[in-house]
Order: sequence, then structure tokens, then C-alpha cells
Amino acid sequence: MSVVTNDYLRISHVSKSYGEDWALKDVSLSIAKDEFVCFLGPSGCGKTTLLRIVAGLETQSSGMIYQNGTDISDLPASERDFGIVFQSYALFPNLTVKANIAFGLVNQRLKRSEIDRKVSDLLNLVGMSLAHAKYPSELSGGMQQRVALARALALSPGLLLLDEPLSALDARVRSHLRSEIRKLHSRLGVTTIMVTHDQEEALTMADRIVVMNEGKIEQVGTPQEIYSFPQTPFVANFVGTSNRIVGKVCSPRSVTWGGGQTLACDLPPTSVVGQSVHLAVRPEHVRIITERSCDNTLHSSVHGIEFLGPYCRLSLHLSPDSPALLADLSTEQVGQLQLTIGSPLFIQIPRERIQVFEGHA
Amino acid sequence: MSLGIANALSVSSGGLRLDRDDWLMRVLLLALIAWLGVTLIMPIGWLLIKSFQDANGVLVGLRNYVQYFSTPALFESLWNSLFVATLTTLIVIPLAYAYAYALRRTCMPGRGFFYSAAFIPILAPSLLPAISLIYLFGNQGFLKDWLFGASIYGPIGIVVSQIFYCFPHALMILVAALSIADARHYEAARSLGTSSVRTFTTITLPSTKYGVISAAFVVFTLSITDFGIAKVIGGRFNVLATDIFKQVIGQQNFEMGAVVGFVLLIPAVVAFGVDRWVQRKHVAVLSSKVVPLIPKPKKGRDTIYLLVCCLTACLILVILGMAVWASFVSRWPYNLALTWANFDFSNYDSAGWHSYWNSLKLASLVALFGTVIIFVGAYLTEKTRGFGVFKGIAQFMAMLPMAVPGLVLGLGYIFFFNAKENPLGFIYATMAIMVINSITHFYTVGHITAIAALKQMDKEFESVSASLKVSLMRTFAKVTTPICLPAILDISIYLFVNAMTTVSAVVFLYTSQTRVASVSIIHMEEAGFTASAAAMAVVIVGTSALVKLIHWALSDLLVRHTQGWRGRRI
Repeated sequence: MSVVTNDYLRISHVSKSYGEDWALKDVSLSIAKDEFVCFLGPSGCGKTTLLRIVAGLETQSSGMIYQNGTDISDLPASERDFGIVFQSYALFPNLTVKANIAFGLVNQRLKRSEIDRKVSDLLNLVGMSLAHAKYPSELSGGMQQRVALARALALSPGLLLLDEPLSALDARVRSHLRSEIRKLHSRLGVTTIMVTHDQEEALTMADRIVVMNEGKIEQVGTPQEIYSFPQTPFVANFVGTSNRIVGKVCSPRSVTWGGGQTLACDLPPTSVVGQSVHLAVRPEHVRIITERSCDNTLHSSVHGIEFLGPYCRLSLHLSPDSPALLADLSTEQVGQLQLTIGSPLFIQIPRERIQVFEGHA
Repeated sequence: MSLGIANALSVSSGGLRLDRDDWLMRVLLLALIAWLGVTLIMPIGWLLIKSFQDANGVLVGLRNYVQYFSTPALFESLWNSLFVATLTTLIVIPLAYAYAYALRRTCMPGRGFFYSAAFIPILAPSLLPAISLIYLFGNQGFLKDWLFGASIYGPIGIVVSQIFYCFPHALMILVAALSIADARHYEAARSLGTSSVRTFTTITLPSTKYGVISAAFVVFTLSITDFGIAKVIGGRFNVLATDIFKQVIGQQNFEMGAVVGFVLLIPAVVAFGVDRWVQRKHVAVLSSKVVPLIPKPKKGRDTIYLLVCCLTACLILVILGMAVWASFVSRWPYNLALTWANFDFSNYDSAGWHSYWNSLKLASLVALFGTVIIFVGAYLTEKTRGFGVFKGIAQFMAMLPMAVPGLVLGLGYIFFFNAKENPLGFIYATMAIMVINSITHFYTVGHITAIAALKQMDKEFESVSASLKVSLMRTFAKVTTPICLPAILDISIYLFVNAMTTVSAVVFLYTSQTRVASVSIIHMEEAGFTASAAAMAVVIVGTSALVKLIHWALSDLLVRHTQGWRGRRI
């Protein structure tokens, strides 16, 4: 029974258990054709397991997978349609760059000239046209990763799987390759899934991000959605930094917390007075103001200043017994205000910037 | 039964349908299990059954065992064997440890030479040191007085010969154990003002503990199961290995031979089991980010170790040199003129040089077929998807030969392949049975080498192949085999040298047509042609050494030919 849908890949109620331990719990997800999706999460969250199940390198305990409208749930990897790049590159060390890329082509009964043409096209595509006679050990990590990418694309797969492809590289090469892969994707339009634990990577590269934690999907959305409107405390904290505030509902439109401060915020209609709620506020959304003028103005004192180049991260004390609140301020502003440890400061938290999580105690 | 196999085969890797590669690998893995079943498990099983039967094949329960333990002469051999093996182990391990320490942790000069010299005994049949000792300390030995009237024929001769024979095996393991060390541990110890004795007992010794235990078991097993040494120099000092031979060949009492064989199997299996158990607790304490320890010169220490190594290497070279000299001497000790006459084997042994050519043939066939079976077998054990139970069985069976003494396996072959109802009986009394027996007998070390090489490869090669729609056979041929070529060469050379030098694996299986050189040594020695026996031993050493040199040259060529891709990465 195939399901009519526009999705290229559909993961339906997939679970994976190792004895008592659950690596994945009832994961469902649809990916559109040509989409670039990132699985993002801390190590052990099940993102790599999910990728390997999509590839057929591991088997789900239950659940179905459909690719291009067909049920591939029990197909072995060799009969699925995908190309894959591993963190370790897994290039064959005894074969030249050219032979690595041609490894799968040789099986396709193509003419030698055809293969040569395809290999040089692929090498051009990844910007490595001069390296065809080299061995992997003669290449830098970044170059090896490009070759691995070309090899994965050689059979023009419908689905490209990238398993932490950049995490073995140093920072500069990583950010360069990031945009290269992104460009490659928009040129080829191949549906791509990339697994990463690096939120910056996910935010800059993905059309959609799937945030995972403890074997479950926490949130699926565009990078903007994930960053600006995290739906769970986990997402708010894992993607970017958030101040976590635990408070109590004191009226339909406000919450008290810490040393008795009251914050006006948009509570869901279901909340009742006295209920405890989680709030999250990003440090860059905390504003410094000169006078007590509008809503949610709080008085604080500077407890610590961490210099981070273009901006500084202040840790603020609102009252002696409440936890510190983080606020980001441009380095220039810190200078203008002549802030030092102990300086008193009025801050404001815009109510539309407060994320409220219900039911996450 | 075929239905059962079909069911077993299609137990999928947890839900996925099997592709062609899966089917192929599963069928081959089952074939490997069947092969080891026929060449290892069944013969041992037959030996066991035989030990519960009388001469007419009627089951008699424990009667043979009762008889064995109530015959003091036989029972005494058990204690003799244990005594000799324990003593050998207690001497070899500290000596090999000091030698390995000198090679890896000091700046003693000539380390390369001492390393090579220590491995000479591996190239020789175990009979060689025994023969040399007879020349040195025997009835007509020129150093006979050094024994103060004690006789070299007996425990002294056996233990000294076994030290020579077992030393390189222990050294190999201990050198490996002492090769890895984290310099930071030693720097930390020094910065805390720790004495060198305490540094040794708290850092060096614990980190090499597993190597020491492993080496001890290897030496104990080698020495308790060795047959050639006790045969040549044991005199009236009986051990289990010679008892089997006497029961089977001398008295044609196969049942009692089976009982002794089983008794010999027990200590070897216990040693094997304990070693496995201990090694399982062994977790690598050293991560990949080790700062390697580079020893610094220290005059006093280096000199002491140089003396230890000189002495040890000298003894090895003296024993080898004695055999070489003896093989050229006209008539020991009356006429010391040098001659080639002792190498004219047809004057001393009916088989003449024929037995040497048989040895070469045996060793080549074992190296060729053994390497293929062992390497492919290790690949199947390591890389078959799913099928965990059968991979476990294959792995266990591959480790087992280590615990089975060659004599016991050979005796099992007699019982199993000579049985009237066995359809495989046609290989009895052929070269083939000796080849199969030797491959099985030396299986484990090759298997461990192959598994280690396979484990070093990126785990995802097979995944990549699947995604590229390339069959595993092609990946095996184009990627796995070339990468593992050094290990494959190591396995084949190991098999060749061992098949060339072994006595115990084939002593029950040869015929007048297929008699091998090591057996001829025993015959000539028994017949009093000791010089020719020494000559044959020297020919074997020479052959092994030559093959080893070719191996070095080949490896060197290989490294040079492939340095483009081997490059920095290992």
C-alpha cells in the first residue's frame, strides 16, 4: 500500500532499540524533493542512527521508510538509491582520486571514455580538476572530503547523505566547504540530508533543520524558525544560548520569578494562575535602557563581563538570590556606558522576545 | 538438515532483505564452519570417543582412564610434563622481558642485530637445539664436564632446549607490549621524584601485564606440547608428548594414545581458556593521542642490558653454530675435518633428499592454501552482515587450534580419516592430509594477524561499496586485499616456516612416500647418524632463513611500490 504524497522521502514511525535502550523512538518526518535537511543534535541523540537507517546500513526495529513513493523499508543498502559521505571520508587509500570516483562507474558498463568524462566533470564540480592522479594520503583533509563528495555523486543518486562531513576539518576549511556544499546543492538540486552536531553548520546550510534529542525529534523548521521560535527548552538551549527562567503564572498575562520580579508575556490561553512555566530569553534580546520607561524593565548590577570580540556577554544580578541573567552588548556600547563590575544597569526584556514553554517542568 | 541451513541463512540482519553479497558471504561462512568442523572438531571428537573404547571399538567407559592413572609410569609423565613446562616458563619470561626491555626501552647499541639474532630459533625445528646440546654436553660432548656429572639427557636438556625454542615466541609478544608507552606518565613520575624501581613497578609492569600473561601461556603451551625435544634429548625422562608417540607407534595401543592425548589437551586448553579470560579484561589504556616514549641514554643501565643481551644472543648463536659445525664434521669427536658427506642423506636415510623436497612441497602448499583459507575466513568472520551467532562460532573455532597440540590433532586425524565409514578416507596417507593438518594446526596465529589487519581498515568501506552498487567481491579484490597485503605476506611466511620446521603436526601422518625432513631428522638421530640429523636441521634453518629473506625483500619492494598511497597513514 503506497501512500500518494509529494514528499521525496518519508520516514514513518521509525524506532530503533538495542535491547533495553532506545536509540530512536517513533520518529516521523517528511523531506521534499531537492530539500537540504540537517539532523542536528548532541552526540547520542540518534541522528546518525536515523541516517544509517535511511541508507539501509542499519535496520529499524519498527516503522517504514518510503523513497520516491516506494516502500524501501526492507531493501538492503545495495538496492537503495543514495550516495554517502562519512566523517572519516572512507576513501580507498590504495586507489587514486580518479579510481576512487570511478569505482562505482566501472560497474555501470560504461565506455572508458564515458567514465573519464564523468570523472573529470565530477572533479571540476568539486574544484579538484588537477588532483586525479593523486592518492588520498597526498591530499589535505578538505580535499579528501571533496573527493569523497564527488565519489558519492558519481552515480547521480536521488539522495545524498552526509554523516558529519565537516567535523574532522579545521575551522577555516570547514566554513569554506560549508558554502561550497551549499552551492553544489543549489546547482545539482539533489535531496540532501546532513547529520551534524554543530548548530552554526545547520543554521547556515539547511533549508530545514530537524533538532533531535534522546532519540526523538524536538522540532522541525527553517533555521529562522528554530532560532527565533524554539518550541522546547531543549531547542532554546541547544541552538544558540538562552536564559532559562522558571516562574509562576501570576495573572493571565504575567509571570513572577526569582526575587519577585514580574514579567509581562504572552501566555498560552490554557495556562492557569499558580502554574509553573519555563521562559527562555536570548542574551542578545535583553536591552539596556537609560530609564524605567516601558514594560518588563528590571534593575540589575553587572556581575561579570566576558569579552567575545565584537560583543561582550554580561552576566547580570537582578537580586541577590536569583540566578544570573546573560545579556549581549556590543563592545562599543560597553565602552560608551563605561560598564565595570558592580555598575548598576536598567534592562528591558521585550515581551514578544520571551518564549514560553508549558508542560516542561 | 538442508532446510535448517536454508532457514539459518535467511535469518536476515534484523529485517532487511538480503542482497547477493549477503547470501554469498553467509554460504561461505557456513562452508568455513563446515571446513573447521571436519578438519578440527571431528578429529578431536573421534579422539575423545576412541579414549572411551577398547581395541575392538566397544565402549568401555572410563576403563582406559582408570588404567592410565593406575599405571605409575604413565602417570609420572604428567608431572614431568608440568614440571618441565613450568620451569621453562619461569626462566623464559624474565629473560625475554629483560631482552625486550633492552630492545625497546634502552639506548643499548646494536638493537637491530640483537632483535634479528633472537628470532633465529623460530626458523629452526625444535630438534635443532636438542641435537646441539647433545654435541656440547652429551656423552661425547666437549663441555660435558660443565655439568658436574649430571646428564644432559633428561630434564636439563629438555628445559635448555625449550628455552631456546620458546624464547622468540615470548619475545615477540613482550616487544609488542613494551613498544607502546606514554611518555607523559614517565615525565609525571620523574617530576614527582619517583625512584626508577617504583616507576618500573607502578607504570611499566602494570602496562605490560597482559603481555606477560599472554607470553607465559604461549610458552607453557609450546613447551608442554612439544614432542621433538623430549624425543631427542629426553632420555628416560618421559613426558606426555613422548608417551603418546610410544603408545601409538611403539605399542600400537591407540586407545591409550587417545587417553594420553586427551590428558595433554587439558593443560593446553586450560592455559588457553585462562588467557582468553584474562585478555577480555584488557582494555586499551593508551589512547591514540599517546606521546611516544623515546628512551634516553643512561650509561650504567645500557651497559647492564647490553651484557644480558650479549649473553643471550651468544647462547643462541652458539647453539645454532654448534649444529652447523657438527653437520660438517667428519666423525665427532675423533675426526674434526670438515666434509660435505653428512649432507648426502641417502647414505643415512632411505628417503634421502626426497624428504627435504617433501618438506618444501608441504610448506609451499600450506602457505598457499592456508593463507587463502585463513584470510578469506577472517574476512567473512569480520565483515558478514548480521549472522552474529555463526560469526561467533567461526571466531571460536578459529581460536581453538592454538589450544590443540599438534600430536593430539595428528592422532585425531588418524582416528577420523582412517575410520572405515568416513567418505573422506581417500586423503589418508597422502600429502593432502598433511597439508590440511598443518593448516589447521597453525590456523590461529594467521587468523589473529588477519583480523588485526582488517580491523585497521575504515569500517565504512563496505557501506561505500553498497552505496556505489559495487559487489563486495570487487571491493575485496580491489581494496581489502591490496591494503592487507603486508599482513597476507606475514601469514604466508608464518605458515611456510612452521610447516617447514614442525614435527609434531605430521609425525603420525606421513608415509614412506610423504616423509618430511623434520621426521627424517628423528629417524637419523635414532639410527645414530646425529651429524646427518644436524645437517638436515641446518638445511631446514637455511631454507627458512632464505624464505624469510625473500619475504623481507618482497615487503621492502611492496612498501616502495605502494609508498605513494601508504604514505603517512597507516
